[in-house]
Order: sequence, then C-alpha cells, then structure tokens
Amino acid sequence: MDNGLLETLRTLRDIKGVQGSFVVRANDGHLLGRDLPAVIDDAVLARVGPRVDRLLNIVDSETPTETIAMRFGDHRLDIKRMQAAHLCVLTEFTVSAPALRMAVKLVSRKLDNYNWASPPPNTAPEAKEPAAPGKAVQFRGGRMTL
Amino acid sequence: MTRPVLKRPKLTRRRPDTLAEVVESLSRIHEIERRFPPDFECVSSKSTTSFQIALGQCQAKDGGMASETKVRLLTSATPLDSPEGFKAMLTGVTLADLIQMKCMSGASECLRISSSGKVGVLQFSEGQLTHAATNDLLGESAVLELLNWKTGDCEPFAMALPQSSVIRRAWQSLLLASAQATDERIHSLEIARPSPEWATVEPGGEGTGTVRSRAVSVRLSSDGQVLTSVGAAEDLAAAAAYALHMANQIGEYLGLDLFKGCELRGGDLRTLVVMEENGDAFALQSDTETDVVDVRTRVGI
Repeated sequence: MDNGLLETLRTLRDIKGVQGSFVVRANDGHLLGRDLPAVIDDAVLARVGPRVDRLLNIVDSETPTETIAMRFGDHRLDIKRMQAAHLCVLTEFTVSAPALRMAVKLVSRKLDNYNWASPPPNTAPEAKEPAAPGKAVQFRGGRMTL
Repeated sequence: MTRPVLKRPKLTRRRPDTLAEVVESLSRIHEIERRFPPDFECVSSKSTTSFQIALGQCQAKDGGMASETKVRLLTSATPLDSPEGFKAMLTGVTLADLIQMKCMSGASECLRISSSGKVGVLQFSEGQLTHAATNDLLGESAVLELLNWKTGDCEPFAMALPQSSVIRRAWQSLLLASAQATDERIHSLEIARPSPEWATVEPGGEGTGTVRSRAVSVRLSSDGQVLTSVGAAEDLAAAAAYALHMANQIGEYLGLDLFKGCELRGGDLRTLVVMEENGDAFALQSDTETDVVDVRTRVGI
C-alpha cells in the first residue's frame, strides 16, 4: 500500500478513541488501503467492504447516502462516501463525534485527490489469442495458405 | 383548578345515628362548603365511623339545606382509620397529583383506582409508595400503568398488603418516569401527524413547490416482520431489515459487540435504525433534525 495513503489514514488516530480506518472502492467494496490492528486481517476486510458499499446504497433517495454512523456495543463504525471510494473509521464509542467528523472530512478531502493505483480487477487487458492456422489449398498447381 | 386552603372545621365527634342527625351534619358541612371554592366538595366529616355519607346533589350553593332525598347513606363495614381530616371529592385531579399529595402528607393508606373497567390499587406507607397492583401488573410497572390512566375514580380502600415494599424507586422518580414516557408518546404522535409544510404538492397543482418526504417510522420484529408503521413505510421497512442484516454481518466480521443502531444521512434525509431491548427494531426516516434527535440519543451516536 502506498505510504502516502497510510500516512493520511494515520492522521485519523490523532483523535482520541480512533482505533483505525480503511478504504474500500466504491461499487464493489474492494479493499484499497488500511490502517487497522493486525488482528483484523485483509480477508475480514474483503468481506466487510462489499457490505459497506451496499449499506451506502440501500436508501432510495435523490441524494445518495453520504455518511453512516453505526453503533456496536462500545464501538462505532463511521463510513463516509467519497468520489471513488468509501472511508471507514473504527472508533471507541466515547470518541468525540464533532472532532471525528472534522477529521473524517479532512481525510476524505485528501483521499478524493488520491490517485488510486490499484486497477480494477476486470480492466486488465485481455491476452490476445494466437491466430488460427490458415487453411492450405492447391491453387494452379501450387500450395497456398488462405 | 383552584386548590382550596383547608382549615379543619370543628365538627361533631359524635356518630350521627339518625338521618336527621346526618342532615344536620350535612348542613354544617354545607356551611363549610360555602367558605370554599365551588370545585371543592366536602362529603364526610371526621366523626363518621360506622358509615360514610355521600353528599350527592347537596353541593348546590343556593344556601339551602340539603334535603333527605339528596342524601344517600352507605353502610361501610370498614371504619375509617383517619381520626381527623376531610374526605374530599375533587375533579380534574390526576393520579400523579394524588400520589404527590399522599406522599407529601406522610399518608399510610390504600387507594383503589378504577378506570374504564380496570382496577388498580396503590398503597402508601408513611409517605412512601410501597405497593401497587393492577389486574396483571405489580410494583413499579403497575404504578406506571396506573399513571397512564387519564380518567376514573379513586377511593380509600381497606386492604392488607405485605409489609415489605415491592416498589424500590422513590415516588418522585416514578412520577418523572411516567411524565417522560408521556412526553415521548406525544412526541411520537407529533412525528406521525403530517405537518402542513410537508403537504405533498400534487403534479400540476397550485405552485411548484418541492415535494418533501414525510416522516415515516416502522417497527420490525426480530424476524423482520412489520409490527407497526406510521406513514408509507414499505421502503423504510425493507431498507431497515436489510441494514440490520448488513450491520450484523459487519459487526460479526470485525469482532464487535452487538449492533445497537445506525444513522444514514444523505442531504437532509436521515434514516435511523435502533435495536430495542426486546429484539425489535425501530426505524425512523425524516428530513427534519428535531424528529430524529431522541432516536439518535437512544442509539448513542
């Protein structure tokens, strides 16, 4: 993962109570970057990402859902929709909500300008198949290949 | 209602034996009544030990003496314990007022409350609310239920209840809890009531105002069934049920505790889903901040 992205995500930890954050791609929830304790591995985030993306799309409205705040026991998960990705921040329940909102706003602004290097999985150029061998025919006493 | 300032009148301590004596007593009561505001009705004196006197129609303030036909004698097997004080029939008094009055006066007695065919009992002991019961509730929950009853009758009741108290909370706390519950009910009704500025503008109708969404809410059972709804909440019910599934899975994958609720915001539209203690889920959608404040507080986000 790009160090610039990691550094940007780490700035969120300046807010007391922030345990980590990760970024998933819009539309498919593919993991783009993370700053989370190792106990939460990439395989877990690969499952979480698509669900985060779906949650942002369940409300049918003219204005799409921009933010989600979720409460789990003593933790909360805040999700912010960006242009091409979604920022997810895992915090303790006691985190200062206004401070967190501002931090998320600043980080998402930076990340909106970020050039996501990871190419989408289905956009890689397909390998060209070798041309089928030509058909050999006899023409005017000679052998030709069509 | 104007509360009368009660001064204990000197009434006879001798038990009235005949109807004539009763009427005589009533005439004295009538004199007392003339000194009190009209909404205060004195129906019995402290001397009554073998029967109670219901005043009936004799509260007329015409200065005339109560006639025999207006007096009703009620035999009572239970002597009144209170050696002194009035027995009053008041109107417009809430049960909360009565509880407050009894507790602040240090009363030790039982009250029987009846309302629309339902019956409940409150017991006071030295100014504390110690017992309460309705047909199917006991203790604090019975008190809160009784405080929901808006109309009915209340009368002293001779009843032997256990000495130990089944009510742990102070009566002040119970009254506050009831008042808070009432406020929340009123607030939820206000949310449910369509607001004039939310009136949907019909296409081609007068003006071209923006069609705004109404506040809608829905309550779902743990298996996703719609229990109650306010407004056109079909889409909200589906969204809330789906959000619950997604949220529970996200929490499970990340190893977090139980999902308690969430808020989704897009523009002015706020959608909140909150898990309740009984496993039901309540979802509310509104474009007005004041509608969602209480629910957001319950979620704790």
